Amino acid sequence: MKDNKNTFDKELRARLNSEELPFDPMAWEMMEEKLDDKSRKMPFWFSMKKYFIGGLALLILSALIYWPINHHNNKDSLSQIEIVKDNPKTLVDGDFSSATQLTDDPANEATIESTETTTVKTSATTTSSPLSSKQQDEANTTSTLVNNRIEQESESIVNPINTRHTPSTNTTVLDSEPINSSAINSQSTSQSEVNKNNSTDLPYEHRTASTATTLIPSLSSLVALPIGQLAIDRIIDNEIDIVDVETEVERPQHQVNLSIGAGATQINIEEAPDPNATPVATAQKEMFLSLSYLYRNKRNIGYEVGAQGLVQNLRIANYFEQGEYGLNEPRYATVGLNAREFRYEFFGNVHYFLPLNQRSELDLYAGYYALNPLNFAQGSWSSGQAIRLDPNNSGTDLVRSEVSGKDGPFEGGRIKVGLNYNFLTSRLNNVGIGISYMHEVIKDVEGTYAFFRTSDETRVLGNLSTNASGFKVQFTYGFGLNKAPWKTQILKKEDSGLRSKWYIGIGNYGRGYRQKDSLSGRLFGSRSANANGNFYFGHYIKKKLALELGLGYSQLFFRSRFRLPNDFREHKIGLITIPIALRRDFYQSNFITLYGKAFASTDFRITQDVLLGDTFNKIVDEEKLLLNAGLTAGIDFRIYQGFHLGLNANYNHSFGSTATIQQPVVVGGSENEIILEEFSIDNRYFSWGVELKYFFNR
Amino acid sequence: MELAIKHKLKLLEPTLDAKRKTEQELIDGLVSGSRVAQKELYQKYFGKMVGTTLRCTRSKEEAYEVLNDAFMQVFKSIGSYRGEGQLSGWIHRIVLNTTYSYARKNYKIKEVNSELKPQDATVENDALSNLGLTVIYDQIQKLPDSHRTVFSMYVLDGMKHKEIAEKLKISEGTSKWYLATARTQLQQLLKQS
Repeated sequence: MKDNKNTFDKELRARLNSEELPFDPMAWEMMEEKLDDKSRKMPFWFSMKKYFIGGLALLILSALIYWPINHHNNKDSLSQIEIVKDNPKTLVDGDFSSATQLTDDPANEATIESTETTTVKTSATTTSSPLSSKQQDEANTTSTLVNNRIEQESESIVNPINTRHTPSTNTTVLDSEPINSSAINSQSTSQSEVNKNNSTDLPYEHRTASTATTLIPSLSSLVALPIGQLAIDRIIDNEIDIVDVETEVERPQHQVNLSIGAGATQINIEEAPDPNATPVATAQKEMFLSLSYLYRNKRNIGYEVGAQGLVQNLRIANYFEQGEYGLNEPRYATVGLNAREFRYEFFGNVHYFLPLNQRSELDLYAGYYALNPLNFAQGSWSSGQAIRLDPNNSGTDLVRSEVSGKDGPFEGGRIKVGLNYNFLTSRLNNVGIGISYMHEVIKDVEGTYAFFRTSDETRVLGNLSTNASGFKVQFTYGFGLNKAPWKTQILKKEDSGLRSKWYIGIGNYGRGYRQKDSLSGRLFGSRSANANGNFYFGHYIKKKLALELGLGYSQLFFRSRFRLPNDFREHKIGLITIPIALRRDFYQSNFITLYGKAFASTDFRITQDVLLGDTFNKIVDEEKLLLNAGLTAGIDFRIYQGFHLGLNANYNHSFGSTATIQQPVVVGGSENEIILEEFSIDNRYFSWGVELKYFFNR
Repeated sequence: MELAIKHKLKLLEPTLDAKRKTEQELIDGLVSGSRVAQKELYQKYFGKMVGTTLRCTRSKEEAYEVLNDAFMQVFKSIGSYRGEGQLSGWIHRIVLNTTYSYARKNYKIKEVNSELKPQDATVENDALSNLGLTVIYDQIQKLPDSHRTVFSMYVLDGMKHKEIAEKLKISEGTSKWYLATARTQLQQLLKQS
């Protein structure tokens, strides 16, 4: 018997492996449909995908650039303006913490005094030289702000003096001329000099006025200052730092979240032997309610644990037409599955918060939802529902569902990834709305459906299973429990005005194209460098961050690969691009700026010139608008006033083929048979360029 | 003797070179997405590959669908073919994997009580000799899904029961049971046809 089996197996194997079935054109037709379907679908799906990826890449790049420089600046001012001690170190590099250390430390006082004295002298020298317009603007702005404050305070001191004494020239200075900011800024200098004087040498009015300083302590040094000294100081120092004391409104560190949501789930129904007798899923949805605790160990990282209860609505149905299975009239029957339609899950999520502004943020999170983790009973369960053929006759089920699964703590679970938009209320509570996707990792609920089932016979029997994967939407309200420990007050230095607010530029670039495959890459050959030009303008939205919009034109030159006469070989495609970029300056000085740029642009294909009449060559795809994204690194040199000369290097990534070219290819040796082949041309390149820019203020 | 073989191989070299060149041009065309090249490849290997999908599916249309899925995979990943081994072997592996993957996903292959004894097969070796290839495939397709899949993997693809059991996540006993039953059923079907 065994020999017979072996012989049968061998003979069958030999027959099937040695003989080939003839080619069936129907199979190729189906294949072509599949290929066409793929290429037809590709522009929609693929373009959606690439636009999504491109957009996401741009968002991430923007965030990477924007976040480090702005997360401390993105605050509401509490509208306090204070004048801080004029510290040369502060003026040099704006490092307020070191400035505070220096001034607060008594050990440094001597150093400070000597330094400040030097500053006064130096400033006195510099004031004799004409100020540039920018410096003049700055001086005017700062002095105006200070004058308001000074006038308020000095008025309360000087007026009583004036009422009791004959106005002196000194008081005239105070009343008639605005006191320069330096008078206040040089508190230390003034104080130190006053300390050197014998108090009995003070003018009478100051001794009298000094009583007022008990009410306004901050003015003690001003009052103690000889008026003559004030007059000198007024002209010797116009450098001042104005700082805003800002408080960051932040998220609470501890939060209790209450979420409610709903979404899709799935029933997988296998086709019955008779496709017309396969039921359909009429309800595949779930609703859930969860309670959780969220802890943020950092401003943008959080951990959440909680429990969720959910109700799933899973139903199948079938419409039986009159005459089917001997039915006298049409019947519609639907049953639920009872496939653990009430369940609870314990979950843990990790959150990454991306602040958008003071009160809103994007919340990206992922986690695991364990199904019934506290159910330690091992075993299995089964359930289901049935609809009778005749309500008065329990003998036959018209439709019946039966499902079963295992019990136990590790029987199932879901992975969840989601995105929420969070908004912070004035009471530091959180309101979030979002979308998520849950994927069931262990699908263990399986079952059957049956039509016309009796104890002896089942007319239709098929398999089904449940799958709790699907998209969900949810609303979350988070109760903030504690103030954020990372809530800080910072001193914000006013923009020094180093960089002008606007700029325009033109550039010319050489490119080295990179194609997806070597075959298309060979089209470009030695003509890899292709010039293009750009015009753009930019606006600084922050001191070191600019938004840029441009317009560019470029050409892709390439050559046919095979043995065609030169005349037929060179081709070009013209593209118009509209780049949008975020520019971040890493180093700024009067003469040099180093910067990086993230940009996105669209390629709009406008021409396909054939240099010398090659009629074979043509573009065969229809998509003309393509997304690109890239990075730039560059340096600008100031050459004259606002004019800058820039050098930069770029990488441009195109999310898709710019054009599909049908190219003639010579084959067949001496017969010179020409066939057409398709090549994919990508606008993916490294480029380097020279730019001329003009920076200006409106 | 050795010299004679070397001499023969040397004589064959131009033919082999030409074959390699033609194949490389075909691959180049596929890499660039040429429809002409795709059709050429499809036509060339259809006969060799379609048997694999026919014997594992329920109908001709289903077999073509699976075959086309496999060829889509071939077109997509042709760039990763590095010329190691024959192209037909590489394609056959893809077709085989796609077919088994399809069977695993779409056919419920359930465990059977391994204590049940397989039905004895009454094998008649002359059943095959007078039947056309299409008829044989038709009869194989009439076997139940589980039986057909195991039978195909064991008899036609030369896999061991252990491998089949691992691939289909069933026990070896179940695999043996399906094989024996399938063999008997196929014998009967072939006899009737």
